[in-house]
Amino acid sequence: MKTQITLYKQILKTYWQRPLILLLTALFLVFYLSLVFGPTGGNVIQVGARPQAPGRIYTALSSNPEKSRHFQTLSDLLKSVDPAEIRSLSLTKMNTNDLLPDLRPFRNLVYLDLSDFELTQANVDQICQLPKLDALVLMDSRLPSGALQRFGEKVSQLEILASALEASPTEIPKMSKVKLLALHLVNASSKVLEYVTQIPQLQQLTLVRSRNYDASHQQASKRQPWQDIDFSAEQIALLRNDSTLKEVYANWFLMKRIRGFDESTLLPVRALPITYSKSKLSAIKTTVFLSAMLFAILALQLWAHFISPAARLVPNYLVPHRRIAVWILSTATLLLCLVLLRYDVGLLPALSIVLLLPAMCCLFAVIQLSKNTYAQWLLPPMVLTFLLFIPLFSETGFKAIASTAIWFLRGNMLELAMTIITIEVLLIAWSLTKLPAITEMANEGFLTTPAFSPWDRERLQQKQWQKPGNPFTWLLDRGISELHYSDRSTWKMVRLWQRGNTFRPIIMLLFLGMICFISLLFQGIISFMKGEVLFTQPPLLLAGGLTSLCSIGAILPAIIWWRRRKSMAVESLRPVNRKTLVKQLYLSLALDHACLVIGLLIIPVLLAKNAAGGIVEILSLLLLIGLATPLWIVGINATVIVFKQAWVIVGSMFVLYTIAGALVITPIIWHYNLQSGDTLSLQYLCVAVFAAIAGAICLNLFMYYAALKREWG
Amino acid sequence: MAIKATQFEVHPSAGVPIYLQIIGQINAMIAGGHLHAGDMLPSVRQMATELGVNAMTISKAYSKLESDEVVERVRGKGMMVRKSVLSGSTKERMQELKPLMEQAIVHGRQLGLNNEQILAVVNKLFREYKS
Amino acid sequence: MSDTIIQTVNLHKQFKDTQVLTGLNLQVKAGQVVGLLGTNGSGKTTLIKCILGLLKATSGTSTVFGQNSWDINAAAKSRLGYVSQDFVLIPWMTVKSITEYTGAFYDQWDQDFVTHLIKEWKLSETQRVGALSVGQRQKLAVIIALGHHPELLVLDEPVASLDPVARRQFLQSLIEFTEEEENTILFSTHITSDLERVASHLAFLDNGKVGYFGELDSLKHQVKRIRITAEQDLPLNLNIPGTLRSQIDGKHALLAVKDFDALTLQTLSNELHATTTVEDLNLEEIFLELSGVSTQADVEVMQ
Repeated sequence: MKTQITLYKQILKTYWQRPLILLLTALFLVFYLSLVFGPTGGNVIQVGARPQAPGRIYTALSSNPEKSRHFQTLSDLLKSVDPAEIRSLSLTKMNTNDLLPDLRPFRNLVYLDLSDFELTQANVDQICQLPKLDALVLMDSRLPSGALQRFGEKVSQLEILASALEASPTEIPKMSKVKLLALHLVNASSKVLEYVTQIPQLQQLTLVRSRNYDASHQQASKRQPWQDIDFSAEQIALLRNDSTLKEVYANWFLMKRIRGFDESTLLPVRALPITYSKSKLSAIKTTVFLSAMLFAILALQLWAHFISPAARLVPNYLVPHRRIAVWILSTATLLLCLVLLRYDVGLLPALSIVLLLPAMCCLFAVIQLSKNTYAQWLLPPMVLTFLLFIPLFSETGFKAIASTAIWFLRGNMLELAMTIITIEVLLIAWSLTKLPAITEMANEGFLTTPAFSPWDRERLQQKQWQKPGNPFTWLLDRGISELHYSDRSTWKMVRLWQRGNTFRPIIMLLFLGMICFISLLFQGIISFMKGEVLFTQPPLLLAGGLTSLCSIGAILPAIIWWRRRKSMAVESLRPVNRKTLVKQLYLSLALDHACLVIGLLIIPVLLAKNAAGGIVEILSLLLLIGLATPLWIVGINATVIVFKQAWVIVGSMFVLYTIAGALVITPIIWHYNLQSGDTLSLQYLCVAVFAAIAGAICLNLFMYYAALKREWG
Repeated sequence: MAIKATQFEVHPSAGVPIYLQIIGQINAMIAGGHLHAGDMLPSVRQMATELGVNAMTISKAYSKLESDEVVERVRGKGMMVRKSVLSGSTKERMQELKPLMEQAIVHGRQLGLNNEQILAVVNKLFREYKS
Repeated sequence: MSDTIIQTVNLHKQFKDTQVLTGLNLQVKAGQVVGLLGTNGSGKTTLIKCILGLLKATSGTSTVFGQNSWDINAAAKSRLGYVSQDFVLIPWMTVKSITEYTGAFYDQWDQDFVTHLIKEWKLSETQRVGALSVGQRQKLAVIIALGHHPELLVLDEPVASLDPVARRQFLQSLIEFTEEEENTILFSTHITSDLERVASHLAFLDNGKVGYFGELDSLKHQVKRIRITAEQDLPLNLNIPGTLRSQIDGKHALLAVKDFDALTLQTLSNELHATTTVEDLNLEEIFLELSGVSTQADVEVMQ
């Protein structure tokens, strides 16, 4: 038994003796602590089912007494936009006597928000004649008779006051088309739920307490009115027994605390909250990130273990190493699940989330290790598909699947969770059984060709290069042929150094094109299924493309020059003196960031449309994003040519990225949260810009002088 | 009759320096009658390439031979074997030979050979090195 | 009067706690072919890297072509060629393109010469560098170093991975390189037989210092092994200057001496009434004696 313990201690020692592993573990702990002590509530997004507005919502006032620039009257709106293009409209009544304007020009209107307008029969006729109308928001407490029925037969999404509903009880059963109802329980009687359940096809119900819950407000309001509802058991029973009702969104807080309400009480109808905290969402994102880091640590270490010669020679090598890896995985998974409990996530869903990324990566690893080359061709499309699921974790993505997601996270979809966990565990177990394949792969050459040393990386690389037909190599070859000695201008020399790398900008463009193509494909499929028009949100697509371009452009130069460093020992003896050499290398590195710079320069142009601060704001944003950010990234990537050891490079990159984030990203976010055009915030912005640029220049100078001292041998 | 580089044999890993080996072989060839006065030695380059040794070693050997007046440099052509110019009287030359012979005799004694056997060896060598 | 190509004065190099080079003085003049011999860890690679400016010396000076090693200017760099021990070349390029790529840096690149060498050494021009075997890559590294006709060639274990045929070819090309009288070579190797063929001078590295530097031939004259057989027991202390190792067993003795002098030996043998035999040592045995390792031979003597 004692030998077992010492053996396990030895294996664990190999984990913490590697600086890179230590660094990753430290980062893991930092993020974990942020999960443990982070906020669990607040900063909410609305997930309650409300009438949805496709496209942009145009707001207009009936009249504009103050002639304020931010708001416009309907007539102003009609001057600038063709009414046939408007699909969502929100009208606010300024004076009590204003009448509802003529709505007939809005032929393609789908969503209409008529908050306070008092409606006459003529208005009701007009509204019902809009051919495509499907979502209606009415905050008037009195509707003309028959209006409720007619609306109910016309639109499928409705948002009204409870008093309006209760005023005409006979019309309720005739609201045949309404599938979604958002009800403001203002002055509601105790029989309101009886009325609600009489709506024949109702599937989604949202119960809101007050009328100030503004449907058109996209952002979360900071002051949350006390939105809790309170119903008796019989009323709950009414909801439960409704045959068509699927989901009820409300703030169940009071009922849970006082009435002992539980989600199972309402089953088969789902009881969902009306808001969801963003911190919970970010906690989930952080957990996934941590699981990725965990996988990275284990993968790195297992790789090192199993390509060493001891793997073949030492008896009983596989079992203890695998056991330790499984222990570490289990412990970390348990820790992560426990911390997710804080965020209102059930144990099983938490487990499925934590194991998701490791399981996917295990699948990729198994495919990579398999000898079947066709299986290996599957890999890039699979990775890309997987990457496309990442937007689900964003806010808008989450809102789209909110009901299912929240239900799942609460721990109510047990079968699904169990299935997912089983698949994940099987994938991980399968990959663990493949560990000997790594050793085999390393040793394989050894058996057939005795000269091949299995743990000689040179031989492994040689085998890799002997495989034919990497389609990109012809591109590389083109760049390197017909080179002759030319004049010594800096530009030519920089280009010459660059040619020694495997990076060609065309490859980046091809890659980007591939991403665009696949995402367009997805968009096409989705829009075909929904019957909607393509390109509902072009800025989103463009932003997505730009983000991927920029993130690749930021990391790629580091990877390229990292791979070049081994041959630099000999190449540093090319006939250029040290200062010139470092200068040229630095410039080559900087030039490799060209793609990044192009991507970053477009962003301020996009943001310029909403700029309130005029030229100053646009210019400072341009400088911040277009100049300071790439300078920072060049400086950070320069660590690859300054430092020798891997862990020093990774560690310093993390530190520098944090500093860069503080100096560059924070001003942008802060500026946009303030959203004011006044001079004080503009001044702050300018100061932030100068600080960022100054910091970037200092960093680059420091890196340059450090590179001068670097020993290339 | 010209001599070719292939007729030489050097052992770089022997204890004897290479240039000494070459000098020894050239002298032996002259003594054995394979090289006559007026013959050209192979060029430094040919020797170096053929024997696989540093050219400087060859030229060192040749310089030593030149300073010993065994060969002389002919401009444009290379090294030519000299007619042997004898310096000093016969007695002096015989005196020069004495220590070497002494060594050989002592060694023969160590090997347990008597005078006749030692003489037999000498005669055999004379036959080989007809001059 | 030949110029000094490489000069180091009191060179020190320290890695964390270990002092690898401790006050090393070396001077290489033009036209010399200098072999660096030394046990592993004696600092051969470190010395070469410090001379070429790949590592920065902790103290002391080192100059190449009269320039400070850390800051060799472009003109001097174009006169030197280097083949390193772990010769990592850019793996994705083909043989032809890597020679062209390297050639683009040099003014005096001779592509025809390079092509000729590639053919002669049987490398395939279209194969990727990453797919070459170790020996082929070593040949390629040497070709690239020779392509611009340098005046100084620095080689770090250049033949370690070559088979005997390739080794012979490599030595041949080195000999051709030395035909130009001003060309200098500095190379470190374990293979003493190659040194004996090609080197003119030898530098022994011992504990971070140069233990011996001089002509190879004079070394062979100076280091000899002497067997003494006396009529009576020999004194335990024979007191021959420059003795590296002595084994005295009754009437027999085996000595390795560093500064062999025939006259001293003659006097000694007359004093002791002993017969002496002098053995010539080849470079490998000299190396072993100088590093203080006993060989098979004295085991035989002891029997």
